[in-house]
Amino acid sequence: MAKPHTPYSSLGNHCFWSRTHRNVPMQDVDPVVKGGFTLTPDMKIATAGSCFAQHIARHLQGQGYNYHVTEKLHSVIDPAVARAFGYGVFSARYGNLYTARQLLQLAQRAYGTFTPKESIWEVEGGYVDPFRPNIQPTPFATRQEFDEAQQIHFAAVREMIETADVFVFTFGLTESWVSKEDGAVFPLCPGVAGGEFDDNKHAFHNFSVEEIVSDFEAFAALMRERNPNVKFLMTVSPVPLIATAREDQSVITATSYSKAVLRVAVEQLTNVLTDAFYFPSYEVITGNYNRGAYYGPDLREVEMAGVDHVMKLFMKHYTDGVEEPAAKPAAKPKAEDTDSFAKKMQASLDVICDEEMIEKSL
Amino acid sequence: MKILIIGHSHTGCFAAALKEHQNLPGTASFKVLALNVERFKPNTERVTVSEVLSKTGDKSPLQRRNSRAAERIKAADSYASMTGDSLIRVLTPKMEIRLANQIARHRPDVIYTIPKGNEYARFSMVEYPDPFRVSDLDNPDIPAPENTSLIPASVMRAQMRQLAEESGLLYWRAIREMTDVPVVMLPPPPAIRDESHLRAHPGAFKENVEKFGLTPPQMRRQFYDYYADALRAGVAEAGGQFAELPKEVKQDGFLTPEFIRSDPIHANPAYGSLMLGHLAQFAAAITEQT
Repeated sequence: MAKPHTPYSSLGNHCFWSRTHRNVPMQDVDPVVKGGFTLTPDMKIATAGSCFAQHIARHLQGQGYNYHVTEKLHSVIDPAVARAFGYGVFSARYGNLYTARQLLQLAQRAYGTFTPKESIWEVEGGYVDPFRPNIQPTPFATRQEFDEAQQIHFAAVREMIETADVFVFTFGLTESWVSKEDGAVFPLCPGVAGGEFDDNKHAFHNFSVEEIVSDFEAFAALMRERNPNVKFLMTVSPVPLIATAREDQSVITATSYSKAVLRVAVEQLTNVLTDAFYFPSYEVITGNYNRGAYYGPDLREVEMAGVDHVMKLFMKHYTDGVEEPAAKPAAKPKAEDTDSFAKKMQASLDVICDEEMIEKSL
Repeated sequence: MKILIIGHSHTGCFAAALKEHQNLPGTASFKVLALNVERFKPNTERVTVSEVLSKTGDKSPLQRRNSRAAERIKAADSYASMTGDSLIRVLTPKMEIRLANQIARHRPDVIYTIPKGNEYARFSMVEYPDPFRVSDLDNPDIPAPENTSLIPASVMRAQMRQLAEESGLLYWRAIREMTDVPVVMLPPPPAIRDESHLRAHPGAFKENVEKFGLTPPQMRRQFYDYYADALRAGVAEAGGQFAELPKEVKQDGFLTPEFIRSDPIHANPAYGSLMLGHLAQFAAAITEQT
């Protein structure tokens, strides 16, 4: 007897849980289905967002794609030194942008339509930018250096907004700290990497789906006003929260909530924005098909094998051909005294996650 | 007191001074060990961070060398973004053994190191085709050509620290580990101000001096200061000793004209003579303290 026809009858294997995984090696599981567009080597690809976006940036650079860096340092400076000062980590030297509100406010600050009241922190040895507190290992030595660097930075952000062909943004967090005075969002709680926490001036805020959608839509409108053809590619960071500020919540449930909100927000954004696509790196890393294999020993850092899987799918669906990932994990060190450093490199290569400052500050 | 001076081309002025002046002040006796000679080459090699981290320990010169390099990787900001494939400069294992043998053979009471020391000049002697300047309130008025890139002073200081770690401090740290006697870091001679001298004696910079021109003198001084500061900071952080130059050898921060040799960067035997006296006094003071 013929099976009855249902809406599921004509669907592809990717729609069925059993068929996506059955007899498929872990590294070949592919939840992408279809890329939104095809990258060409001449397309300028800009990145921003949380730590995980740094992997995408590094890989694109390694594969010879036109990774669009608008805030550059003179080539006389060694790349390792430049990177330590935040150059080339993202398209401009903004550090990690964990929330859509941060991204929007950065663009507004670059175009002079928003000037936060709390815009500089004076610390021992110089000045820290509250909106990129870990951008360099030492504070800006003088106010003049701080101001000059900020002007150069804003010009680079404007150039990125006006000239990128593709803008890749990784949504990282919903939890954030904002200024009670004007709503300025800090990437880290004041006091963690500079500044001082003040109950009268700073407040915790957990962004909702509606707020995230609205903020990113506003950013997209601002960008497309100056750069109408830019395409958006959105991802959600698979890196769990290092800490939650919600006293009544475990960091496990807080992470689950945050990621769910971000995932829903991105889904809605793909519906309301044109030329805006979701790339499921979150599912590749967190999916239970891999039984946690893509997380390091701390169950938080993403292993290179996971990044390689993500980037293999990215190259498959967003370029003309499949390319093997160029980056190889560093050899595992044997000596005990170098273990902590080596682990850091093995697990995260040089991904700079300033959230870690929260634990260090305790 | 037996004093051993270890370094490269900057040891030349000391060797020449010792040759010219047999009777030096005080009771110090000097030996100069130049490492830029064939029997010590190559001094260094570049190895991957992974290789360094996989062979650390204290059982062999190679392990000890790698352990020092691992410490350096962990400590320096500029190395923070390195991956396992990144290359870093280290002494060759043969060099480690030869240096240790030389120190054991000479049995000095004090060692001065003045290794390398010209590297900073590659940033500051000749204008780059795409010129740059460093934002620095200590040197606010350095003239700049059009379309000059501005490099934050903190970035350039980090760059100089990396340079020092791969040149002067690399040798100083190694030598310090090979002996119990004081190992004192000596900065190179200050930068030369006189443009006519540099044009007359451009040395290896000749082609580029003619093509792109010299930098302003303030920039040469600025970079010398950055490099000397990097050496000074590295030594201080390790609890070591740094011999400041006597005031006679500096004029407005540049090498005093009477000590300039007929090349763009080195000092002459008169500088060597004056410095030997200074080094003898400094050595006497620190050995008295210890």
